[in-house]
Amino acid sequence: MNFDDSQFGKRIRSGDRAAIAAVVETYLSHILNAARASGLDSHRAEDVTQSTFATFIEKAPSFEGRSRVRTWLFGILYRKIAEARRALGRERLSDDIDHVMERRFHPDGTWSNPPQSMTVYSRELGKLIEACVDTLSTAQRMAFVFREKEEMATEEICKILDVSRTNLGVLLYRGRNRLRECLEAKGVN
Amino acid sequence: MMTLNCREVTRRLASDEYLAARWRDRLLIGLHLLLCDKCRRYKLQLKALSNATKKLWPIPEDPEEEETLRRLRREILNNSDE
Repeated sequence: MNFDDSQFGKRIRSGDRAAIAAVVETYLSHILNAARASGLDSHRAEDVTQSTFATFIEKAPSFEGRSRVRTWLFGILYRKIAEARRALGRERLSDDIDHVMERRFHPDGTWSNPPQSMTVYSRELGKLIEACVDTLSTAQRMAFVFREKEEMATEEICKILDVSRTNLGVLLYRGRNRLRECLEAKGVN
Repeated sequence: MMTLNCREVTRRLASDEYLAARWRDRLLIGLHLLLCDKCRRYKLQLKALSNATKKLWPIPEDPEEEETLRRLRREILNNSDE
C-alpha cells in the first residue's frame, strides 16, 4: 500500500478504518522505538506512543497530505516527547557546548586541543553513548536519533522538529559535540 | 582560493552542512582533510558515533515485545471506536 498517494490521503481523511489500521501496523514499532530512544522509560514510552496514535486518529479528518504520513506521525510523536520530557524536568536550557568547542581552537581557527582517536569497540562505545546521550537537549537528541538511527533526510527531520535547515545544523553540531566531549571525559580515546 | 580553517571544517562536518554543499565547498573540505590529520581524526570520531548509534535501541525480537505491540495495537484501534 502506498501511504503517500492522494487516494490514501483521502481514505485517511475520511477515517477509513482499514487505512488507519494499516498505518498503525506499519509504524507502531518504529514510533515505540523512537519514544524509547528519547530517554523516556518503557512505561512512558508506551504512553506517548498511544497518545501519538490517538492524536493521529483524532486529527485524521484534517490531514492535508502536504507531508508524508510518516513525517506527520513523527511530528506528533516529537511534540509528545518534548512535552513528557519537559514535565519530567529533563529539558536543559543553557548551552555551554559552543564555549567548550571554542576553547578547543586557537584564535586563528586551528586546533589547540585536538581530538583523540577513538579505539574502543563499537559495542562498548554504544553503551557509553547511551550514558552520554542524556546530556543532550530533547531537540538535539531527537535530531541525532532521526538522523543516525532512522537515517532520515534533512528535509524530513526539519519538518518533524519544525525547524529551519540552519537550526537543524546547529542542533546536530551541538548534539554530536556534546556526545564527543562526554565520551572523551569518560576516557574514550 | 579561499581556504577553510579547522574550526570551520569541524562546524561544516558536525552540522551536516557539507552534505548539501556545492562541489567547490566540498572540494575545499576534502582538500583540508587531506592535509590535516587532526580534522581527519575528528571526522573519524563522528563516523564512530554514527556507526555505534545505528546499533543502539534495537527493536527487541522477543515474544514479550510481540505481546506489547499486540496490546498497544488493540488499545489504539479500540479507543478510536468510542
